[in-house]
Amino acid sequence: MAQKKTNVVIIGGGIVGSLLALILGLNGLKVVLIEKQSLDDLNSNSYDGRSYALNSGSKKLLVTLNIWDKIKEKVQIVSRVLLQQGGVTTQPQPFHLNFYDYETDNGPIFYMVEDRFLRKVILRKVSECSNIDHLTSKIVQRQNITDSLIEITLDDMQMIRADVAIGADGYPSKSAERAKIKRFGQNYDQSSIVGVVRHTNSHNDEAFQFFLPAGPLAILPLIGNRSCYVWTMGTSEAKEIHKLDKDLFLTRLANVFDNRRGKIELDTPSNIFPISLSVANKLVKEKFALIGDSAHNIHPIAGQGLNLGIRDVACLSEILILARRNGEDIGAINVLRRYSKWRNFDIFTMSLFTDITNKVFSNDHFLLQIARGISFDFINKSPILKSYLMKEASGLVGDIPKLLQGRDI
Amino acid sequence: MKNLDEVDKEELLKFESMAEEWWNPEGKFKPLHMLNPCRLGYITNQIKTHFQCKLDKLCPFGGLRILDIGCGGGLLSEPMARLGATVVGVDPVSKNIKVAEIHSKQIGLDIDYRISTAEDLLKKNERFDVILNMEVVEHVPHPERYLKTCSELLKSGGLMTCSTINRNSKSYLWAIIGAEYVMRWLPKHTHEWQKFITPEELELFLEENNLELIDTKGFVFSFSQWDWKISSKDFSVNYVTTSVKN
Repeated sequence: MAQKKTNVVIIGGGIVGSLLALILGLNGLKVVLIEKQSLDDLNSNSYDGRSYALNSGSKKLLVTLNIWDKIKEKVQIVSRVLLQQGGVTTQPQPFHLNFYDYETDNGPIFYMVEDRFLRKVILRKVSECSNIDHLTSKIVQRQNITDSLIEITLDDMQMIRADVAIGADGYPSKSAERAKIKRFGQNYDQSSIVGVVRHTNSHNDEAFQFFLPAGPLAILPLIGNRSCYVWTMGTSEAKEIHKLDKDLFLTRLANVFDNRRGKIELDTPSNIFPISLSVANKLVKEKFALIGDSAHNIHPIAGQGLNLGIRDVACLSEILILARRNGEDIGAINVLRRYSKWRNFDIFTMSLFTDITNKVFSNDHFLLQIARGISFDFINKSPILKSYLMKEASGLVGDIPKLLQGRDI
Repeated sequence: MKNLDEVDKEELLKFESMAEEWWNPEGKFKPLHMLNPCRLGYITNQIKTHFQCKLDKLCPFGGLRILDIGCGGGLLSEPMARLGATVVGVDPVSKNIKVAEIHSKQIGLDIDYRISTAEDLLKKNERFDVILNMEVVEHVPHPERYLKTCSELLKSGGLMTCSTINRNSKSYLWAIIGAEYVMRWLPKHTHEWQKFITPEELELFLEENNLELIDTKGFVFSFSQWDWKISSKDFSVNYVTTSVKN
């Protein structure tokens, strides 16, 4: 059986797993990054419209890693966000909530980046880093701890022994299951239809979120006259709409867009994703830690999923690198607990926030409608509350890891 | 077999019973595991500064010969070896050395562990760039004689970090009553208050032995953060010194 020894094994080579590999590799740690997709699939030019709303904290991390520079022409800034309850309409509404970029201290409210651009740049950086061994088309079969190291066995019977293993395999996480980490959460019985449209009117860097009774609809600007939509509703209804043929689907979509962007056309086929809340009740175990969606799969209502994962990456990499510089065993439970101690509060509050927001908005209860309207109005007229909410969403609150401040570790 | 004259027989027995617990962060040595990152941060910084080691390298201590006296299960020896140093870890308790050897092999670190004492190493004419003398002086019968031996083991220009506990009413309350009786972090009779050493006494012992004191810091337990912190002014209980051999 082939065997190798490394410092860190990362299970899952998505955005968060690859970013962690990159930071650790650039700081001298030996990393094995395991991904089940093939390198060709990862490198393919397929365009499925998946996009991320990155906050300024996430941007700073990408700037520090010299990734931002390579994608900045492809980044769409968002300088105004309109939140509105009830039906989608261009008519003025009694209650709404506006956020403008001039209300933040640091430029745009957030940035829209498409997966197809971000993924490729990260992939190239990973391949250029000599400390990263990128194993693609590989599936992990076993993980167990022997003699103070964690052993990962792959489907080709290759065995990797490491000081620590990181679960970055998304949701549902097989690596967390293997580590016997339990989860809590619930199925929302909602699904999101996601895709990209081209439109005749300019989007003026504006993003919308309409809180409809079945779930929120987000319309997010992308470069060119394009917008990404995340249309959330009950799962059975979502499945039906998703099944419609292209023209019928476009009609339904144009209906909810209500001419906000002029005439629309589909730019990508739509995808459908089930939504649930699932949070690991432990972030770390002996020789093992979870990051990203494998640690916390949350409702997309606030567009915070990847930002939360990037904060995991920034904190965990800082803790592992500083521990290694002190000569500590980076897989020791007392080192890994520094990570869970740092992250628990943020993950818990964000899970709770998205959960409550969804429950409060995704219904058409008459009293809640009024209460929501009044609170929107109240927040809209309170600059202090607004700036607090925007700061929270920027990810730059509390004890901020160095990479999110734009500094090297 | 070995000359253990300088080691209190009673002290020896106390630690034999604890040896296997060394590497369990939740076990009897939990207090030491909690203090360890703080100690390590201090030690690595002092060594890096003195020998101008490159921080960005993973093995910045390559080429340094480090002696860890009273190494126990190897809580300091292993990090030093991981940072590239050639480490000799000595402890008079054979069980400790066994624990340390097994653990370092498992984790893949090459460390020269010996059932031995400072006096023994001196007889064998060993010399070191760095001596880690952490939480030892308060356990030896003759600190001044012991520190003379340590000084002779250091190469000229070599560095020694030495930590111990101050002797005053606060240290009696914290280190004896607090740690052994109230919090039960340490077994009763781990420490004898009379054997504690004040920073002034320690400085005198060091200077008499050609060791120039270059830094003193306190290790302070923060109850709000439930963790140890380095303090640049509070030496009232646990403190650490760095000295250089002229």
